[in-house]
Amino acid sequence: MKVTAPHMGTLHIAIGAFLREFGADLILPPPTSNQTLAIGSRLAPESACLPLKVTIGNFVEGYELGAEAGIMVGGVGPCRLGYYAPVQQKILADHGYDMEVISLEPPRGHLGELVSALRRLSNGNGLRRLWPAWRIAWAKLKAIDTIDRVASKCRPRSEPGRIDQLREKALSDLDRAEGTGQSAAIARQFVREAESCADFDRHCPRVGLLGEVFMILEPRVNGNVEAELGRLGLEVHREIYITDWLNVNLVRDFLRLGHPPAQQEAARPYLTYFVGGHGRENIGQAVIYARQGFDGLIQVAPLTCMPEIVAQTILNRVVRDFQIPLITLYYDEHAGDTGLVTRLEAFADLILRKEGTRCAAV
Amino acid sequence: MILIGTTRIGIPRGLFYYELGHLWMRFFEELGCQPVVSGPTTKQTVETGARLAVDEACLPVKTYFGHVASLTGAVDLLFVPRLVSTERCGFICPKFLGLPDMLKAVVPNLPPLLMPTVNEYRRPQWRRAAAQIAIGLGLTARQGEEAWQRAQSATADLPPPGAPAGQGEADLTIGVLGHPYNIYDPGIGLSLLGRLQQLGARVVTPELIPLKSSGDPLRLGKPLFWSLGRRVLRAAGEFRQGAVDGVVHLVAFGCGPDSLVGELVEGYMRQQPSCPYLLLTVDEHSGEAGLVTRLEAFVDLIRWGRAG
Repeated sequence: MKVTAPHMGTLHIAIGAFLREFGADLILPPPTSNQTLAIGSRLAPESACLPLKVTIGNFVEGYELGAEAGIMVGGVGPCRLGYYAPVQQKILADHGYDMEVISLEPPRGHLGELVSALRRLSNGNGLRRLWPAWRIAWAKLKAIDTIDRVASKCRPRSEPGRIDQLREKALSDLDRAEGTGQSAAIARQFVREAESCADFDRHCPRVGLLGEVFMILEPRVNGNVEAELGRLGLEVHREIYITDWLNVNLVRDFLRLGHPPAQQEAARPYLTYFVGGHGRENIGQAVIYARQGFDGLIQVAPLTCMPEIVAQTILNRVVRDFQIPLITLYYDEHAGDTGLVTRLEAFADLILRKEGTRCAAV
Repeated sequence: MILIGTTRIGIPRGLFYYELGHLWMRFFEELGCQPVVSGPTTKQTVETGARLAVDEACLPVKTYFGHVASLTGAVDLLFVPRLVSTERCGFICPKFLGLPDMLKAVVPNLPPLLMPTVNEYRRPQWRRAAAQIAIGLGLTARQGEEAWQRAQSATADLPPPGAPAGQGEADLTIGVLGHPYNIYDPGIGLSLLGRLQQLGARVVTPELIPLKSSGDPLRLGKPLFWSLGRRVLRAAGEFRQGAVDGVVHLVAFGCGPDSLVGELVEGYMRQQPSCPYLLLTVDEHSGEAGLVTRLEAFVDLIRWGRAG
């Protein structure tokens, strides 16, 4: 069975490594583009959240390349992500795409279903290659995270575009890398090269990127907000990196450990309960950033995202208490890059000017 | 120190008030408190709420904020339960989970909140919540539980607040789908129920008909985890089987669950051409004139269709 998987930033590198090692026959859709979004917007419900539209577009593009099934993560709510798979399945079927959506539900209580879904993906190889597949995928994920963290630090401190060039190259090498050792070596080499380009004497204000996971992790849909902020002279720290996401969604959920306690603890004065998605974690992380003296916060979310609307409302109070600037960006299929860049420039100007007055006063 | 007999407990007339309002009122009366429900939704309520809430919040949440604002200063405590889940394996919406925290973040001069957490995802919890409320008011857990039980039996047969009552015979029956806080609040639903009645129709809503327990007429494979969506879907199943002459479905713009459920229901209803279906989306900018025209056209269509 030929399977495809939707894109989420650089996740395809790990998914590719995992499924190939696991024995599955993987057909990756082309990178998410305006075309992807156009397909998704045409097929998906009008006011559904953007990740649903994008992933449906990915599935259709994968189908056109010959995929017979698509892999999706599942969930139990209250966020809509948990109901994506049945909705995608129905939409694809209604529009004549003969394609099965295989949902990898969180193991909580459905271990049997997860195992049988994995068995089907393995093309008769069973689960014996699960561990080696996981190891190589995890090594690549760790390399991606190292690359992304260092890139964010070096971007505002080096010639515009240089770091992204290096990063692109490192990621494509990583996609082809064979073993765990090679993956780590690629990350190390990137770090060396990137750091040699950067001028670390240059002081750059730090901003925290928060919000809905998909929108944070998918630069092709978020208007490349992280690189854009870097270009504007800001050092960006992300609330979530891919390994964190997998850690929380697979490992911690599997062991029923719940979400990381530090963020929950920090969120406590503002929100004492989960609100679906990463709403509570965002508030906690915003408080942590503010305490660490960050200069600003950027929240990205798909339009009508429920957990992020709750978070945005409550972040009002964090902003007041810590006097930290926040910009909230909602995205839908009509988001234009120019409008986004203008807003980000204004936000960066505000922070840099404030920084300037602070330096002048010293 | 809380003096029970004189404690005014504010209950905002919004969201789950339209589901459990009678029960809550009776419960607080049984406890010896003085429940104060905010007035009916007006333009002012919506405007105040829209100013307080973030732009992206849905109309019913904005309106709720407006009701809360109207109660500040007029009550000693404000009853804002954190409704995580009100039935097994069902959620309502993330906004209900963070409701008290959102209010604390944006409503000035907020009275102290009475905010029990109710999570019936695994097992019923309202009784426990009632005990907690009673303890918070300086009474005993037992008094709370007993008051809850008495309130439950006294209000069990009442239709939800705002539900149509005393309808006579009519030549048409229109099924109205939607969340209770949208269809029963004339300020949000633009008096949809009343208008349909004025046009000579009898209206039925998901809360007024018996629903079969076996849930999903669409057979989606995975049960919906939004309680209100589930009920709408089940009611759509009943309506489609010929119980009504037409269906009007009211959704709030930006409603997360309905962005998926609404679409599923629409597709399902459209498979049955003999049951006309009208989907109405409302936000704080909705005008009544546009709504009236569409409802008139819808009712005319059904009557003409019948005349052949």
